[in-house]
Amino acid sequence: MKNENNFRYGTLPGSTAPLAVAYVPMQVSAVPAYESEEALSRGTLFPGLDLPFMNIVNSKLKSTPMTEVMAIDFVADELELYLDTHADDKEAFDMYQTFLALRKEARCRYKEKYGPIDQSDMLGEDSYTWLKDPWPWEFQYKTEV
Amino acid sequence: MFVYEKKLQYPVRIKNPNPALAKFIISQYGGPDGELGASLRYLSQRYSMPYPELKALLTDIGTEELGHLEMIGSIVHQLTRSMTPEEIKKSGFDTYFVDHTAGVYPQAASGTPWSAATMAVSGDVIADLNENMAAEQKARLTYDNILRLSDDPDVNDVIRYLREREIVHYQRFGEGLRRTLDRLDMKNVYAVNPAFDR
Repeated sequence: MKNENNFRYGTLPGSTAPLAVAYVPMQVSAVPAYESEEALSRGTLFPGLDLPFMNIVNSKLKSTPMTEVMAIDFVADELELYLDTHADDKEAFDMYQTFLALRKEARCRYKEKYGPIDQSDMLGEDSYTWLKDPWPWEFQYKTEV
Repeated sequence: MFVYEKKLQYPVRIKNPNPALAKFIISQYGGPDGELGASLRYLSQRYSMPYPELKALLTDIGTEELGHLEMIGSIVHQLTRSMTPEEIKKSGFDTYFVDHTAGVYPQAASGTPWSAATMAVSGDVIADLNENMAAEQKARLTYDNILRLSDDPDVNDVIRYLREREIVHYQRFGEGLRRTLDRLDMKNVYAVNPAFDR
């Protein structure tokens, strides 16, 4: 497994395994990983799991304060699922810590400009900004958000 | 406890309304392999999961699926804005419109309302995880089929994202099954159901 496509392969239990049960190879490592905005547009942080239909991939999203928050949240979410089944992977946990810190900063920048993401973001606000349009499902004519 | 985040997991910005597309994309909202069934399947199965990594996995993937439900609802909502009666009739959206106007109702493309009969909660760890792996494959192929039928780039962008999530979830459920097998007697993994026979 010393070729450069190593990350596309996982480990199986030795040369034999019990009959009559399904096996999916274990992902070996959280690296290589895409950078956050590419991860978001690809739908996965991990190149080894990136298996697009007809090999068509999304182009990167235009960078906005919202896509910045989305991309960082996405990496954190993706690492959470990875850590659920790889709790002992120290490297992945360190990466997760980095992204939790980045998430905090990106959310602060976002909420200053556009309002709260969750209701606790209203701590210290002058008014009840939760009602502020647009809501996430609404079509936005402007694309800055 | 759940806390709402006023954002989508991935942006949905559909420039051109198109009720004909909404008519089949609604299937991933309330169809047999859609996001509502996915979230309720995982969030319901977790109660009988015996190991922490499985409790976490079902909680986290189930929660993410609720976010995907919101994204599909957003696509349907945006595809059906500012429709005229002529467009509604011409697009074939009339059979949905007559009951739901431009509301978002959990049903399959065929019109069948969402049903818990489309999902399983067996209370058996190996059976549930195999069910979930199959469910992720069925959702993946539904997205493949949507990509075959849709020529709207704004819609397809979101669908490709959601499709890829199914592949990642499949991998994680497979790993969850591996973590389960690691704890069982390899001479006979079916000797007991660890969720029930303690």
